[in-house]
Amino acid sequence: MNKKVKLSSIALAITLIGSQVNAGETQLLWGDTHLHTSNSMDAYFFNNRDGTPEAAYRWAKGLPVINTSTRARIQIGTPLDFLVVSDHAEYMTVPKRLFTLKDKALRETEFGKKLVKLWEGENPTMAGFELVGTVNDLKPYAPFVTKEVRQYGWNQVIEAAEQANEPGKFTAFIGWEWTSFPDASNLHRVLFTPQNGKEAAKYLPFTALDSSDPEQLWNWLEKTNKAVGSEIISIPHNGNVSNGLMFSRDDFNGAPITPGYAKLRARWEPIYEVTQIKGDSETHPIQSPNDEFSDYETYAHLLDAAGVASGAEMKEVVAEGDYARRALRTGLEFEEKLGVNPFKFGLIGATDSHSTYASAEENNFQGKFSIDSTPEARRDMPIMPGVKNMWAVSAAGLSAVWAEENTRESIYAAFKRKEVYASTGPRIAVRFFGGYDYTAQDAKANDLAKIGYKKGVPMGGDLVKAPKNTAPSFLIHAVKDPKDANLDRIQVIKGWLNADGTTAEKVFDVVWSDNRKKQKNGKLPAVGNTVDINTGKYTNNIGTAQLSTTWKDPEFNPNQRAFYYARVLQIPTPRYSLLDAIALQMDVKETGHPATIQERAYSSPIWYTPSK
Amino acid sequence: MKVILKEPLVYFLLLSGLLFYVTTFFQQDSDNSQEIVVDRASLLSYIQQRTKIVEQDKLIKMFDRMPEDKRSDWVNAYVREEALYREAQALRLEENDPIIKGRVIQKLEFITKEYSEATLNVTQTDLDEYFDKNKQNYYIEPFVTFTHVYFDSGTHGKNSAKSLAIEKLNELSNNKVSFSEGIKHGDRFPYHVNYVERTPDFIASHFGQDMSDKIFNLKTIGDTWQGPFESEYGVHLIMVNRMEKGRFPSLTDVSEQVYQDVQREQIQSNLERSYKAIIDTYSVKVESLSE
Repeated sequence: MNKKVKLSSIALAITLIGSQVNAGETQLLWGDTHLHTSNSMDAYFFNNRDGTPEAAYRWAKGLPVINTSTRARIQIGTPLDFLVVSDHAEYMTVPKRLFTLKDKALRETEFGKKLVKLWEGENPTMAGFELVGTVNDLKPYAPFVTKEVRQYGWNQVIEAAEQANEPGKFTAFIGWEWTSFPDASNLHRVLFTPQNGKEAAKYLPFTALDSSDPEQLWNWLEKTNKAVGSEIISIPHNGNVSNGLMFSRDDFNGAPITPGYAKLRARWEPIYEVTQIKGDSETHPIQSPNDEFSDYETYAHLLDAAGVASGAEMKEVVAEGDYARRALRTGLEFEEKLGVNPFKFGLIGATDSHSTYASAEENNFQGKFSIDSTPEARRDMPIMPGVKNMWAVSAAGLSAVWAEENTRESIYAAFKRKEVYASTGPRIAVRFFGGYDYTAQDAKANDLAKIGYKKGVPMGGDLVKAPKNTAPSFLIHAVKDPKDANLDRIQVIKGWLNADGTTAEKVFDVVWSDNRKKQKNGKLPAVGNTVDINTGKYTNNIGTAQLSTTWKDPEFNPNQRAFYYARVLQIPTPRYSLLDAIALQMDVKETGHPATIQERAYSSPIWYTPSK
Repeated sequence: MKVILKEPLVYFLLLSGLLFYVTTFFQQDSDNSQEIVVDRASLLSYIQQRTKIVEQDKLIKMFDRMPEDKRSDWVNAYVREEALYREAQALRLEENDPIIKGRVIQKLEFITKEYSEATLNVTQTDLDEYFDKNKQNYYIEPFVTFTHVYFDSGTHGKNSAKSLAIEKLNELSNNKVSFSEGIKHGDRFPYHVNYVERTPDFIASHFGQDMSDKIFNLKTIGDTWQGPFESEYGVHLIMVNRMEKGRFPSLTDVSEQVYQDVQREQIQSNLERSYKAIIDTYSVKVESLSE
């Protein structure tokens, strides 16, 4: 907060007379907040031995780089505008120092000697298990978590980001991942700061070895903010592998959430990572049975090696606290009860790639780790617990940001105000505004965004106090990725709190392509599918390049708390596993995954709160 | 020893231990250790452990509808586990294993915990005393709902931002511009236009501490534009829709939560007592620890 956001350089189209002001334009920037290099322990053990943070930035900027397993030259299809290299803070760089850099300080410790013997001897896998085990058991080996070791890792992060950062052109953030993993429930958080290296050097990353309790993490954020003026955002990892704990109604110790907890969470965690390589966490067919598009890239295999049993019917664990839509609903309940909503978050996607390369392109996917970057490895090496093959993961996850300029401060401010959204990969542009004055004409205007800002709030904002007899309306605009497929439809998802304290949700189709007519049951017919499963090609002769509309909630009740967000669906396109199957000349059915998917974007919500 | 015998948990554990020895002793004859019997009950419980399906009828339904090949996959998995487990046991591989040691201790802890929960007794006095001692845990944060019209001191300069704001304040007040209409005026703030039910530190994180203090000290709630107020970013006019003061609730307001907290505290102290009682049944001899 002591960091002043500099808006001086922003070209605000301001007229100083009357009410003509308020037209600051924003531009769309794309990036990844969740990316691992060989400095992360698990990435290193899964064959990423030399993927550096520098290489991660080079890939993001669109330069050719080397795949750390195949050693082939690879390149991103469309470059990114920003990147957070977020290596696991626990034992950051330790395996690399032990085995690649042959660092005596670590190798000549007692545990170091044992690990080196395993690694360079007959059982390198065991070396990995032994080291990871001490983190999972929260019994770190003291010589591997000294101030010197932690500082060494943190310096790598800082230096790489400082060098890669080019204000106005490309933004490199300093960040890390806090890897809390109680009973194989994933409670990870990605943290990043808009501040420079000098500021970031005033602290060391908080790790799960300091505490696995998110509340302790927030306390640390608060304490560090007070002590050294740090400004850091914490983003929960996608929740589908959290065993219901990510948005639990209880705190880490099993006690019901208190106003104090809600306050801390709302302050430090404005954003949630809803989609990534380990699947999509918007919702699940079990939780949203009336949503025909809810069965999308679900991945609910706990990352629990002990749970890998017969394989046959390893049923997915689907809990209330795992998914965004349900959490947004639960948040309304808490807001009514506690006065503060702990789950009032915007949505982003991120890759969580461990390959060094933020890749979310179906036709250019570099794998979850490094070792699974080839079709054969994905077919033959199910290295994650519970999966049959590595096609279980998605080539997914990017963050879209509406920011004034491509700088650390500007992008960070957009995260803080939640003017960000998630894409499963394609660069679909989405505007989503809420207000009381939008007209049908506004959706056709050339300066739609200007009107959007002038008459209402952008995604991530709040609506209060509806004027008498007025329902909120939403100005929505989506444009397809210029290099990718057409759009099928835009939907608005509404969740609300009933008078009896229960919550509900509904999906509205609000605008769609190809002049389709809704059927008697109110459903819109499917858009069709042009994908040729023998060639992996599709055509854009269904769908449309852009969609826009002004949608007014037909079921608005001014006394109910509610949230609204937009979901934009692409027409069906080939999943990367189909392209792999074609390359391997195998039947796509044998991959165990659908040949085609409808990629999508989720806007951050807009909340409505009745006035008391 | 007298203290120990007063602790009912130790009785309970002794008794269950005895029962276990008796039953296993009588079972041993009939139990052919080289024979693995897969019956419905054991397979169902195996599947339940694996799939974590908690509802019994859902599990049974799924099992009865399961195709033959899936079912035989489960049988094979069960047999494999059972055979390997028994073989490992026969080789006494579980002895001196820290993981197994930890796991069986954990199981004992579960039993102890269930026992502690079963012997709970929360009285009104407990509630009163606990609430009195831990009042600060139930403090309800103040929160505020407001909208603001903003003038950027970066683009206008501080002084003219202020005079623009004063002019605008007159206009808003004279024209009775409403809460939801405010958005059409002023510059675009880096964060939000409307703030709903937000606590002081959240407001401080978007406006700076000074401005947050000013907002929470506003006395006029309702359709009145107030200001100008200076923040780290510029000058603001504010309309407050709702302001809740921070307060300590009464016990009746939070009785449910206090009850749960007292319960947890009792369970914890029962647990500690039980562990101590278990440890007390052993005589401990600490030998010289230095070489």
